[in-house]
Amino acid sequence: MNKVLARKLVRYAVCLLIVVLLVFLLPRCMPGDPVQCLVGEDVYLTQEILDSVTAKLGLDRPLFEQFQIYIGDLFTGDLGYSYTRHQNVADLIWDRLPWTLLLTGMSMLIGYAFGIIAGTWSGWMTEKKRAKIMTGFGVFVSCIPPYLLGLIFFSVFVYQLGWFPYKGFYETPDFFSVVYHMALPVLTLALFVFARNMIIMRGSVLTEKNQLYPQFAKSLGIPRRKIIYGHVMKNAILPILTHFAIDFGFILSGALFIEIIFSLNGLGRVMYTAVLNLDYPVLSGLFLVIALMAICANLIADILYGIIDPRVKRGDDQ
Amino acid sequence: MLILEADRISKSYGKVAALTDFSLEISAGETVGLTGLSGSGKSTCARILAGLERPNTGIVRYAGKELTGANPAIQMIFQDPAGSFNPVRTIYQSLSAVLHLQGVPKSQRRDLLSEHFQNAGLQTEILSRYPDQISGGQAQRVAIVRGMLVHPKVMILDEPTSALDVSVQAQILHLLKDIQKENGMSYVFISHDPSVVEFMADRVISL
Repeated sequence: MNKVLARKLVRYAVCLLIVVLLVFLLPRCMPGDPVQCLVGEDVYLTQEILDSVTAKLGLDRPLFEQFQIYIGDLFTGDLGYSYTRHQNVADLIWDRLPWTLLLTGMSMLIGYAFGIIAGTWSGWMTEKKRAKIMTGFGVFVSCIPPYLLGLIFFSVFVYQLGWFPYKGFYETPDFFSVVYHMALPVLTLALFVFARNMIIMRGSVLTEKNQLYPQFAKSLGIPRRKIIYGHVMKNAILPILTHFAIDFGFILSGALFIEIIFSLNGLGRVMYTAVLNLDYPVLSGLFLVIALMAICANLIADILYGIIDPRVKRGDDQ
Repeated sequence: MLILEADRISKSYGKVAALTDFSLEISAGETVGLTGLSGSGKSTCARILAGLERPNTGIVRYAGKELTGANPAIQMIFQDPAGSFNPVRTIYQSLSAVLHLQGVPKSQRRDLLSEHFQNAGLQTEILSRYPDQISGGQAQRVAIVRGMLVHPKVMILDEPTSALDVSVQAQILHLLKDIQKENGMSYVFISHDPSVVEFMADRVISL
């Protein structure tokens, strides 16, 4: 492992530590008694029982000692216990995470791939009517939040046309069942990702197109397709990478809303019920996992940046 | 023998007329100088002559045939040499791509480029560098080498020395003269500096 990568890893590790610290401190900074909050406002407990539960949870110990226990638990994969679901938070998240990752991953894959290609084309062919229509469509779709897009699609394709199912899958489904249930949510989120990336890519290609090197390549007789997709697209893709890192959290939150709308059994519904039930251990666990994914997305973008543009790598080395 | 001809070409961008009713004839081995104030249409004219842009009216002919697009026989050298290279590719990668188009096997490319570099007074170490890692003078020499790789008959030189300091300017001008002497190609030399145009051109046209 080279020095630059090691330095980056340290930077992201510090970032993760800050997130862990925030997840640990936030519930403890909230007003009120955490145990009372845990059992609910309607339940009356004697002071003795409250004290014993507080001691059992380790909340009577000094803050630093609590943090040590918390970190120790994290290393063993223990994210706490959900008293409303009567289940370990880690098990709950681990159970639902694959569906959220499937929805987000597939949507991003489709959205980014088509967004990059369409953005490159519309950036290169700005004068064409079809490119103008596509840009207008991209701007329009990108202005609609994913949850609203989801509601519109749900109303049209599920209620009106009946092409897709009303509810998600609640038991282990087979492959075709997964495709049937996931198609519309994936398309909804993919369309949103596509529109945002198409606009960014279009602007970036417009800038690259006016550089001298594509003209020089043209004068050398290099085929247009090769100039666009071999030279210009590769260089114009850098803002997309930056966008990937920044936008990952936003797309993930969009996925959570879409899961709620389409009744998918992912983290979105877990978060939704946790918010309704004030299930703080689940919310803390989700916050930590989502933050970890966002940090990983940033790290991947950071590494890819250096691979695609050697100037960045050189700057890092210096 | 007439090699490149522009017959009453005009170009406008929206309502702005960049070039109006311009005609030019260039014979083989001749150097035509093009001068004019900023905004007089020198660069527009260069792009049209190189086939990178189409005129709104008029016609450009290369070797008697209408020029409808870029033609490797007509090469263009730009004012910003470093900018004419793909910034994320090494000089070798950029030049190797041209040789690939020429059908030169990969095993012969480095030797061939080393030979061209020696003739242009360049060190072969430059091949492994990126465009932003070489000087303006070196980049312009590399750009000339790259243009020469496709064996052009006409070279459009759009202010090739205006971004360089005086001593490097002289080296580049002499290099261009030597290449012309060796290959007998035609030049369209564009500059706002009358002394440079006078040094290079057989005849001068003012825009």
